[in-house]
Amino acid sequence: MEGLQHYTPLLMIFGLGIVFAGLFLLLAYAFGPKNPTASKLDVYECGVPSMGSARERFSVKFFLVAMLFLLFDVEVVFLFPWAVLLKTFKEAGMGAAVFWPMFVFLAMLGLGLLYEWRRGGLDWD
Amino acid sequence: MTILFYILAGLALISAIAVISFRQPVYSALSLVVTLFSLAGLYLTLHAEFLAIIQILTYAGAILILFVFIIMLLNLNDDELKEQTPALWRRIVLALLGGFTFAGLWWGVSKFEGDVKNLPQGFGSIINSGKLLFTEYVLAFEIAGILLTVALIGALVLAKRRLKI
Amino acid sequence: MLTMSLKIIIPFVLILQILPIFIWMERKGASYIQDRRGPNRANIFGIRLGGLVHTLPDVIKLIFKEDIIPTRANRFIYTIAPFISMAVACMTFAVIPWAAPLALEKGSFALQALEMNVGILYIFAIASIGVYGVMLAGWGSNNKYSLLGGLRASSQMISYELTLSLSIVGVLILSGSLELGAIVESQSSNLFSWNFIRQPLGCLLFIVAAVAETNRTPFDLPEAEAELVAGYHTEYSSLKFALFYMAEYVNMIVASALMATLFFGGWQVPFLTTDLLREHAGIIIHYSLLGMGAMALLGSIPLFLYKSRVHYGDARDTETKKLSVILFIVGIALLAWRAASGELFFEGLAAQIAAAALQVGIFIGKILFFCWFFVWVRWTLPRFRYDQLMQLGWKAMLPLALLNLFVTAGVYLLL
Repeated sequence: MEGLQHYTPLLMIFGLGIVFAGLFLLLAYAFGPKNPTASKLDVYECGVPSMGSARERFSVKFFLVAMLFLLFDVEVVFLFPWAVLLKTFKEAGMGAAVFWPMFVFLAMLGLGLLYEWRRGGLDWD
Repeated sequence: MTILFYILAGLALISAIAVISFRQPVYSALSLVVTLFSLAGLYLTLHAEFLAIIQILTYAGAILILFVFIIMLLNLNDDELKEQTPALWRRIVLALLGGFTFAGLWWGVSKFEGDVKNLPQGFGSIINSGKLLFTEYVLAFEIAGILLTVALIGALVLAKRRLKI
Repeated sequence: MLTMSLKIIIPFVLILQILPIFIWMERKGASYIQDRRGPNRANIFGIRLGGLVHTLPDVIKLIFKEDIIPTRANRFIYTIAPFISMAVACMTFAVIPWAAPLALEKGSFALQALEMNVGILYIFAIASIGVYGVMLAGWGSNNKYSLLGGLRASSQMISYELTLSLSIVGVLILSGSLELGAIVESQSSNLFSWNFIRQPLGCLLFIVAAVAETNRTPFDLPEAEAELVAGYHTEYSSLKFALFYMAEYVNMIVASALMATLFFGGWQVPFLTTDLLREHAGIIIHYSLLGMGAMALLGSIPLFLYKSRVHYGDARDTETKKLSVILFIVGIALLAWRAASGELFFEGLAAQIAAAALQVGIFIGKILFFCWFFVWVRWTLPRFRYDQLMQLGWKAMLPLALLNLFVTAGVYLLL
């Protein structure tokens, strides 16, 4: 499949990003002075002796945001082919045929969002 | 080009094994990102551009973000992680379940008789996948919408119940 | 193979050149908005260029700083987080078109590193990986401030990522393609059919979401210094800090390029189509060079007469004199050269390259304008509170983006 050569730049770009960022890590390692002391390597909490660990459980609200994001992200993924297709379908005279399925789809999700809103799921506190 | 396939498939396999071998869940999640990237590469070798990008956008960019969030939410420290070694019966059951899944996949793949070498023009493009989605599979698409809405409400119910404690 | 690597390396180097200019714009913009002078000390043999030289010693300084890995941090995650941020930032620019494709005998030659039919989705997919950099930096540092900063940053980024992708759906409907080159083509060179006229709400939402996505003020809660020290990069020093810093600026440059591409006509020169440009490239370049020569000449005179009130006692005193002489010579040389050779005429490939150069110039101008916009917004608006930020994202921007999408689709189908 010779068509794959089309993606060679993609490989090169990935390589470029990795090499460029890696170079910086190497430079820092090679040129920086190394005289660590215990207090230098300690957790920085504005000079106040640190209390407890950062490995604490945190608010479930962040989790809810991530969950909502995931669901809407999947929705957006469906929207992209739809948006691109609209032109093709309009030219074929079938615009409504793709418009209404998406309308129903988004209306359902919109209702879900509305429910979330009314129940206070979108409130931060 | 077969070399590319073997490299990507090998990478996918190694990182998939790494997912289940690491004790630290963050490492597992990161290995899973590598797996997903190599899978996206495999899709690209089949000219399924849209699928490859969606793979990264939703799986690596959304689902795994959620995983890492949960890992951070639980935020197990190293001592807690060492305690967890699953019982023998659990390991056996899980191995059996995994084996069944693998056998099912194997069976499904062996029945596949399509021609992957000579793909039609525009195969895997966003236009073609979209056309199928909005004509032939429009019912499945709407059901996906219902599923997403149910998940939306479910997430709220679960999270809100926790919040009220 | 050679052209392929050139197509990647040239835009990359170009972005690395915009980077110090942007940092300089940020520092000078901040200082003038706050009524102070800003950086003006670092010099190379007395040449300071109004503080532009400052970025160089900054990088050198950071190279020779100690690279600290806190004892409690997770070494691997701590190291890989800035790496992910920077590597991802370096990959996103690939699909941005810099000028109209050249029509060669072998076929058309696109001036973009990577032609993918899913163009804009490539940027979103790669940018969504950038969230890991921030999240892992916060978690890997094992510092409470870092963790909170990382959490805030990542949930903010994912919340606004939705609006970011929803706000461009209107553009996609109008252009019928995901490929950025096609999106630019579809806007044509007519200023009034650019997407910021056809999609005003989408444009506004995109710009706001892009500012939020790059964690800039008024959305810079991840590094709210009053609460969180420096957010997710509290524990980072040396070049690891520089990686985060540069990644932020590269991301902003790419975001500016995207704003220009999606809503402001990309490389399109207002009212001058590519064909027109190719036909008259010689004349346009001739007169712009003449104009630049005249400007340099006129600018050198006040610069020569300028007297600084401060006396440093070293090479910096003579800087303006030296610059004005250089400017004067350049101006005279340009004018003489252009006057001597008369109007330029390009044909065939040369005309195409000249037109492309003009388009790249316009595009860079647009990018720099939006970079300035980022700076301007940062030093004008105060910071949000976190609940306000989340409410804006979910209760205002998301519904508005959905509305914009439906209105666009409805109007598009009815027309």
